[in-house]
Amino acid sequence: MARTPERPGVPVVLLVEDDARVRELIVRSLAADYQVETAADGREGVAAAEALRPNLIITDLRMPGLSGDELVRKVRAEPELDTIPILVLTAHEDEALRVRLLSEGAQDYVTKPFMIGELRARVRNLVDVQRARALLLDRGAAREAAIFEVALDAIVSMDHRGLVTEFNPAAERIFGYARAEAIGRALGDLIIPPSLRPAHEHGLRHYLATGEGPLVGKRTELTAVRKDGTELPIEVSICRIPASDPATFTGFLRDLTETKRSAAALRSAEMRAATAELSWQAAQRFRRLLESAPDAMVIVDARAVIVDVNAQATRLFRFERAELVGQDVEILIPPRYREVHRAERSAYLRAPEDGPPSSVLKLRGVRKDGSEVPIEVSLSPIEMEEGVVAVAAIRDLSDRKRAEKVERELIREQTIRIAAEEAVQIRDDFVAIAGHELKTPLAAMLLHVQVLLRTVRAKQPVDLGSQIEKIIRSGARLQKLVDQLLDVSRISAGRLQLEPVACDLSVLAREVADRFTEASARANCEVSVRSAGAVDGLWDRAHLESVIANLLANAIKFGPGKPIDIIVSRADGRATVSVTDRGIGIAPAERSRLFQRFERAIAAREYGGFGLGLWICRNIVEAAGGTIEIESEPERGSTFSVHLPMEPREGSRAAK
Amino acid sequence: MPPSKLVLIIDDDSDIREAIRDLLTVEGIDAAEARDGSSGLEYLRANLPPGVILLDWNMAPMNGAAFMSELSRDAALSRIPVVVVTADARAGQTARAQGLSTLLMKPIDPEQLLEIARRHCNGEGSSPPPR
Repeated sequence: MARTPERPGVPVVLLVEDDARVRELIVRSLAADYQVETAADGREGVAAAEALRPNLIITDLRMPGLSGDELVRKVRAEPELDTIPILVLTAHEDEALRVRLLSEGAQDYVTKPFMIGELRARVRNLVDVQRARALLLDRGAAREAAIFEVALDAIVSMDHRGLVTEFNPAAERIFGYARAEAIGRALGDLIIPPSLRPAHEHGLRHYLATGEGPLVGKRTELTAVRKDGTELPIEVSICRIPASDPATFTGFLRDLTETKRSAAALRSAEMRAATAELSWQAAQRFRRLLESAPDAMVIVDARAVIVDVNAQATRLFRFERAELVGQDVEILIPPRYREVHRAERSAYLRAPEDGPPSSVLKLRGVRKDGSEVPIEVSLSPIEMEEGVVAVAAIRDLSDRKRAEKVERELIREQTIRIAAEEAVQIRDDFVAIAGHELKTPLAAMLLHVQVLLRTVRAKQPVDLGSQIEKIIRSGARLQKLVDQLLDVSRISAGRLQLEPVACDLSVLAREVADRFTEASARANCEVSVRSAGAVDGLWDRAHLESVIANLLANAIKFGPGKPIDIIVSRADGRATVSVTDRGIGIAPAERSRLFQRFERAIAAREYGGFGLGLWICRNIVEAAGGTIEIESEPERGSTFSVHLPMEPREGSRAAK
Repeated sequence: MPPSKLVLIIDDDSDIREAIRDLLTVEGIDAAEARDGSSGLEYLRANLPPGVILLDWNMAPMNGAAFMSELSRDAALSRIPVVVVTADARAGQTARAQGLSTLLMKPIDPEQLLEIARRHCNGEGSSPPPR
């Protein structure tokens, strides 16, 4: 699960996203500033949130298993995780869902495809707010902390005497009191119905005496009263502000009027019987579950009569709810399938345990207007007192197909956009590096020219010839760098052309080594070239030379003062040239990045060395149909081996 | 006349080291070379302190920043003036943030280089170099 190493003091961001590509892109763009942990679905995400207590959760919506909106509800149901902000990644058309998520406890959203810059900015905001708020809560400054709340709940604080110390805008809206008139008054007199006031006062006294209270630290449903005397159902969670003495309490109160109203709409003879049996809360939860399910839900009793449907089902089949409840379920099946369906469902309802435990059926449904729709039905039986009812979750396949397509397109667009942003970044870095690389020989050249000028003016006995040679050497180095730059641009554009000619790889290797005599002597490296005779083949001489030169230059740079071996061999129809140094070696983690076009992690530390050289080498070797590999041990040295076919293969000329 | 001190050039690019050294030599200033931070430290621990250190910022294996933090741990060495040489404006800013006020940007301005070298290496009353 962990993607980036633990870094003390660095905020932790939990990313819940099922698409590995999007996950990787986001991790990459946040890893510099955050410790990013990932989870691939909602269930894993909830577990990770509990284990990690991150500073922020970023979640996708559409995920297999537990979806993003279910994750939001689950996380918000845990008081422990209540202060962790949630940022939702949504698609364009999830407008309604987005609004619902915000009201259910998500703090912010980003619409796919998003700019990485926007995501970063939103993440930064949310993490800053979370940290500020946690700090204030730690210090007992609940009122200040509450400023940071995207408050949809009423937040009311009271001191140990039961007097109101905080009353937020949502509380003003729900209870009808202005903050100014609420502050300083007894909470009991404001929002608690007269009949419950003695219990409230007793509870407070009891808590102060014993540290125990039935309401503190839990979620409870209660009746409250507005300024105008009307009552309303609320959900309350009360917490004592940590380390407050005398005790101060903050309550989060949610108005349940709307939820209750929809619960009151539960109407069917059978369901009413069941409802009576179940506690009010359970029915409430069941109804909420039914309505919050992403799928159309149809509940049928043992006789296959529809007992209840949710709003999604009425939308899918274009019936009113009242037109469905009490009807045979076959009303939703096209006439030509009704007989088969009837036979199969009665077998199922008689002995549901014989069927597959979570049977998924692909069927056709029929709408009120007679039009048909491809559907996927998952059936699960529920035991009730009066017998088994079947809950059918119905998914509109035509819709899902469309949604999946949209999702795929979004991901594609997202990938392209991030790739483009990265390309710009890489280009900028490349320009900076190239500039630095070009300036070094230029600097040397200009200094030598200065020496020459001063020598000539002062008529000093300095070896002019050697100064001019040095200028030529710097010029040659500049020339080589410019050639490299051109190679990079050719390779990037896929225009690298190799011109194979007959040559002997061992001769080639010796020539390169000879060219490096001076450089290797200066670095105090003894370079030996070994070969078992001629290794003749058809290769692009100039490019192959530059590959060997590059490897040798690296060996000298990273293994000064130690011997270097170049070995040329031939086996199994392949030629191999390997360059071995005994220098600092390369850590395993860095090895895979060596051949990348531009490795920022290394480059930021030490320009030059492993920059473009190895990337160019790899591209040249691969264009010739060969491979390049590396063996290395830190502090012991590295071996770079180039394996080449004896002649170019068909179609292997162009670089990737 | 007090003996003049030399310039220690720490740079992983041998061409740059050689070019700076040639320029100093032609102006009558002695120089020593080190090819990275750790060999620079080796030199400093084995020889008389130089008048000034010209320090390349982007080097391998031991870079300029690592060299500076090593240097600052050694009371005797930390008094030697250091001038950072870089082609990278961003690296220059980092070096400044570490309290290094003197910077030489690549390509190096020879007059500036010589002015620094003379200031730090020639004792009081030394004769100006022949021109």
